[in-house]
Amino acid sequence: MARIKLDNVTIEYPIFTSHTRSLKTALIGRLGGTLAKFHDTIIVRALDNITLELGEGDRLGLVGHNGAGKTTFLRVAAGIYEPQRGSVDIEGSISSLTDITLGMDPEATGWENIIFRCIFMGLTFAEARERSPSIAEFSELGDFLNMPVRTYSSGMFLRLAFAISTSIYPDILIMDEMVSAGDAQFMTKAQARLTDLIGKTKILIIASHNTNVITTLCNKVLWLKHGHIKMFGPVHEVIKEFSASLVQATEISDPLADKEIPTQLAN
Amino acid sequence: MKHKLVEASNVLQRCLATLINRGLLDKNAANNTLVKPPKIVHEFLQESLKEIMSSLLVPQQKTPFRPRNRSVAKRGWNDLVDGFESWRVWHLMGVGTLRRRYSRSRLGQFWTTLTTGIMIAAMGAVYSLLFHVKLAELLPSLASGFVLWSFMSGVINESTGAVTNSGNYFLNQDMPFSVPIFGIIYYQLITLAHNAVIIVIVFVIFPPSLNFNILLFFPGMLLIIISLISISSITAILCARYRDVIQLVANIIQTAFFVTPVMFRPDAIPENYRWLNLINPFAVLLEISRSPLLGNDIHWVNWAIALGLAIGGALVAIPMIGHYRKRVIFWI
Repeated sequence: MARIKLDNVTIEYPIFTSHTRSLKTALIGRLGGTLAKFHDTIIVRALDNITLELGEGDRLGLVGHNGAGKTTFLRVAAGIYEPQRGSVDIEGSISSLTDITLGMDPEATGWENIIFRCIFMGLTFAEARERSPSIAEFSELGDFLNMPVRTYSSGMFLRLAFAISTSIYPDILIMDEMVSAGDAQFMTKAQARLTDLIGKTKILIIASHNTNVITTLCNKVLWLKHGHIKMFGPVHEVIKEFSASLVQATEISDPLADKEIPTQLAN
Repeated sequence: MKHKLVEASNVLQRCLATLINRGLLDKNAANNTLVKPPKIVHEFLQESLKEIMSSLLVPQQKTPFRPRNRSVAKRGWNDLVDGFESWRVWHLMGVGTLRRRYSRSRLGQFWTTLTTGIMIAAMGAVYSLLFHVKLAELLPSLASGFVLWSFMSGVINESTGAVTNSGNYFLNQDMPFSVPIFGIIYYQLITLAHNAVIIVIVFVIFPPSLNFNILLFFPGMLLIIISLISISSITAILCARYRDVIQLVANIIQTAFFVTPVMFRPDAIPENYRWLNLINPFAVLLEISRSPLLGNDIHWVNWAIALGLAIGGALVAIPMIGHYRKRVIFWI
C-alpha cells in the first residue's frame, strides 16, 4: 500500500538574518516593551494550500520555474518538511534520491561506502553485505573498491553512488531531476536500471525542467507557480499548457514583439 | 470601510421602503415617525439590524491549524525512540567522526589517549607543587576527573553544531532529530573508552582505595548520559535558532572547567563553601561518576540532585524536541 495525501498544505520558511538569529534581539524582544520588539523575520511562503492525492501507479511530474516550490513539494512528499497548516499523510517506504551520495565518506573504501550508503537508506548490516557484490558488479569499479573513495574521480564516485542508490526498491521514489552517472556506455546501463527501478516503485515523483523526461516517465503532472497549483492533470494536457506558457514567456520578453502588438486596439 | 457603510445605508433604505409599502410607516409624517408600532415592526427592525451588523462585521477567515493528533511530549518521546532505534545510522556517524579526525595519521585515534595523557601528567605535576598535594593523592582524582569532564564537555560542545552539521541528512531524508545527538554521545563514549586507559595506568601506579563503591559508577554514568541527552538536545535546538548561543555555550563550558573540581579535589573547597559543588550540575555529575572509581562515599544529596537533573532535563527536552524536531530543518 502506497499513498501520499496532501490536504491544504502550506509551507512557510522563516528567513533569519544575523539580527533575528541573535539571542540578544530575542531577549530584548521579550524583556522590553513593544517598541523594542522586532518583527522583521521575513517569511517566504513556498507552498500555498496544496491539496493532492497520489495512489499506487501514479507517476507525478513536477514542472514550474525556479523557485516555484518544486523542491519544497518533494521534501513534503518525502516527509522531511511538516506543513505549518494542512496535513500530510504518507504510507509506504520512501527513497529520496535528491542526494545520492548521502552517508558516503570519502575517507572510507568503496566497499565500506556501499555498506554506509545502504544503512543510510534503511537497510540492516546483513542486508547491506548481501547486496554488496551485485552493487560492486554493476558499478564496474573492480579493484578500485578497495581504495578510499577520495582517490576516485568524481565520475567514478557518482557511478558508485548511483549503483548503490538504485539497488533498493522503495514504495515511493522521489527524484529532483533525473539521476544519471558515468560515461556514455555506463549511461545506457544506468538508464535501463533506472527504468527498472521506476517500474517497480508504486509511486514516482520527479521534478524536472526537461519536459521530455516528464512525458516519457509520468502519467500526471503538477504545474506549480509561486507555490500555488497552476494546473494538475493528465500529462499531455498540462505539458501542452506549460509549453505554451514557456513560448509565450519568451515572446513577451522579446522587446520587439512587445512593441509590435497594438494593445490599445486589441482592447 | 467606506463601501461597508454604503452597503449598510442601502439596507436601511430598503427597510424603510418596505415599512412604508406595508403601511407601517407614514411616508409624509415628519421625521419618519412610526404610526403603528406593533410587534411585527419591532421584529422586522431587529432582523434588519442583524442584517446590517452582519454586513458590517465580516467574520475573520481563519485557516485551521494542523490538528495535532499527538501531543508534543509524545512526539518528542517517539522521536527519541525512533532515533535510538536508528542505531546503525548513529553508529556510522560516530565512527565516521572518528575516521575523519584521525584518518591517515599513524597513531590514529590513540592521539586522543596520548593528548589526554600528556595533559594529565603535566597538570598533575604542576598542580601537586602549586597546591602542595602529594602526587599520589592528586593524580588518581585528576586523571579520572579530567577524563570524565572531557566526556561531558565534549558532548555539550559538539551538540552546538548537531543540527547544522547534519543539515544535509535532515534536508534529504526523513531522519529523527535525535539521531545526531546519539551520534555525538556515541562518539564521545568511544573517546572515553580510549581515555580510560589513562585512568587504569594511573590507578596501577597510585592505587586508590578500591571497594564495592565502584559498582555505583554504572548508575552514575547512566544518569550522566540521560542528562546529557536532554542538555545536548536543548543546546542543539537553541544553537540552530540563535547562533550566538554557540559562543555562549563554549564560554560556559570553559568557565565551568575552572570552577568544577576537576583539577582540584572537591574537599579542597572550604567547608562553608562546599554547597558550591551542589549548585554546579557539572560538579554533581562528576561526583557521582568519579567518587565510585576512587572508592569514596557519595553523599545522597548528590544522587538526588543528579536524579532531579535527569528528570528535569527530560521534562524540558522531550516536549522541546516534540515541538521543534521538524522546525529546526527550516533553521539550517
